[in-house]
Amino acid sequence: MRERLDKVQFIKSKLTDAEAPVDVQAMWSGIESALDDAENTRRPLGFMWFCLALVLSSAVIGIGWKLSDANPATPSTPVEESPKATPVQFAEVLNKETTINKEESTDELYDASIPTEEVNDAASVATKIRVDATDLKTRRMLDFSETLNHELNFSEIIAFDSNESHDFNVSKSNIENSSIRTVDSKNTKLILNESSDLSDIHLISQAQTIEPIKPVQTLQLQSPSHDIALGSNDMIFVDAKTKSWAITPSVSAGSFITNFDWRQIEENGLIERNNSFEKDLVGVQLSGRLNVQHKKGISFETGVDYRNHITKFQHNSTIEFDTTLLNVLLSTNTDVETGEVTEMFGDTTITASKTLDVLNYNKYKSLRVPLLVGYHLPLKKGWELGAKAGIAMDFFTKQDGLVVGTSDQINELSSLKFKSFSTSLLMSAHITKQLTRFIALSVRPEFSMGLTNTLDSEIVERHQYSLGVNAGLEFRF
Amino acid sequence: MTEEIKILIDGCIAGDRGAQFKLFEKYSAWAFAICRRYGRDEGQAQEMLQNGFLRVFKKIEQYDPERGDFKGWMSRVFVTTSLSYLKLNSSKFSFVELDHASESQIAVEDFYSFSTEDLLKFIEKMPEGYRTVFNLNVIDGYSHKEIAAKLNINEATSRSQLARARKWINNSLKNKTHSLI
Repeated sequence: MRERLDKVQFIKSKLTDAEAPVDVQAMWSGIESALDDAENTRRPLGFMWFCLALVLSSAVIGIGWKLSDANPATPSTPVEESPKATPVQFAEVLNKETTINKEESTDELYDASIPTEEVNDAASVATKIRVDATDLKTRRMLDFSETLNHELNFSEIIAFDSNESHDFNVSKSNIENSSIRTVDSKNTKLILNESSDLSDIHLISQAQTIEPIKPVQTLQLQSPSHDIALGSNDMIFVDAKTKSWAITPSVSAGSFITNFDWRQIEENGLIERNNSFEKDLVGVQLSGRLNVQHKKGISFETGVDYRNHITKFQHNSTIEFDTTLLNVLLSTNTDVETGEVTEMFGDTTITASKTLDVLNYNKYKSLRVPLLVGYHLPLKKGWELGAKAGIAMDFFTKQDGLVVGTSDQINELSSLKFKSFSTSLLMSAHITKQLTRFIALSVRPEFSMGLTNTLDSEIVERHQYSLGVNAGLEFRF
Repeated sequence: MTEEIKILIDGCIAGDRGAQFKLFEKYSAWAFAICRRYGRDEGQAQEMLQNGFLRVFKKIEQYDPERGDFKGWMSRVFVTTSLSYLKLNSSKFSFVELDHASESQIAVEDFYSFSTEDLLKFIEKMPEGYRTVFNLNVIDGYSHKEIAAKLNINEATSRSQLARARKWINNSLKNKTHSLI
């Protein structure tokens, strides 16, 4: 035994930190040319992820676009002639209002037909309508849900459209002998929510057909994404031209679960640490987001999320290791003739084991900055569905607890060197319901997948995966 | 870490070809000995050396002086690179039966007068499976658990391969009178 150990020790002592002659110049020329090749083909990692996010975002937008084109909105109200209603041609409507020029664009028409004096005058005539002239000038949407709940004297409502699809909710009208028209609005829908006995409200679509609208008690006009303006004392213009970009700040709160995926990096692949795991018990998130949305549905979103969560870390393992015992009794030999006992001492190697059984609760606080691109698809009755994808940058501000390192040793989180931030691929759905003119309720499920290592280590990788739902309010301008 | 090493590392991080050459010149003989231990022959060892230095230059910015000395970090890189090379160049580690492993015997007295080069050639003759486990455990200090993870084998196999490596060494030497195995 002694000799065997000596041979091994001899090899170890001779080869540890040994050097072997090498042709430096010849080897270096090969390495240098390989380095040159690598530099010519190297691309920044971040650029690769950016391209990936761009491709995903483009796919989301493309699918949304395709869906939008494949399902054009159609008039919900069947067009048929009414025995009670008198057909009114588009030209006749325009002729009634002398300030409207058929050749003018919608914008010009808007400006030309609604001078402030007339509006004020209209307000005075229709005494129970409150009109904000400033809103008219700045083309902001007016909420008629309040004003038109009152008694109103007017003869026509005209929706000027530009081949886009819109829903106008109309309910509760006490208007007698009035009509509601949409002009050049092949896809515009006028929705009646409540009916009564009045009989002379009409919907004119494409100036071709009049459909009788069942009388209602009070009229409400709501269109969260379009400008609506009061025209004169007997006309209301609904300028259905969508604003190009809408800005939507939002606040929300929610919860999420996170899995930290710990892996040990090896050249020949990643080795999962099956004997340890770290999963979320509780995670809360407060979000402040800013969404900028084009009228065609494309949107860009960013903001700051504050995330606070506790994870359960559990680790069970048995470490086996060799240790050398020096100068132990290996054998005894008794001489039968002399009775002399000879003892043989030497070094020996034994295998020892140590069991680890760790349970700990880790605490994390982080800030997340999302950069999302997406597409919003308007649905009926103020509902909207969006899909977004992009990058999220996570800044961990505090981490306390225990984690497993290489060779199963347990490390304090605070002693590990974390990278300043990590990036994740973020995918989000966005469901909103318009509540009032400016406020909408939103629910936002999100999934993120860690793209980069959160640890500054070449041996251990820790990626963050999270799934959560946020709910909150959006403020649309 | 000496100032010289720090300057070389900083130069390598900046992609300075001069610094890279100096680092290579300083450590190539030492690294080549590691590769010689793992490689089947000098040709394999040269390829391992080249791959290892390319990886060192690529990953050098990840080196953290607080977590160990530079030579230890480089050693891990070269061991990992050598194992990857072996894995790519053989479908599996060849755990040869002991009876066929030893070809010729060397006198014990001659063995103890071996130079480094002689020992490298001696180790080179060891079957690849034994050699890898022997190198990892005895010379590079990896535990059987770590070896099992690195080679995708179980710990028992690692232990038995090491035992066989030791036996192969004994069988390769003529004077075995004191062996208790």
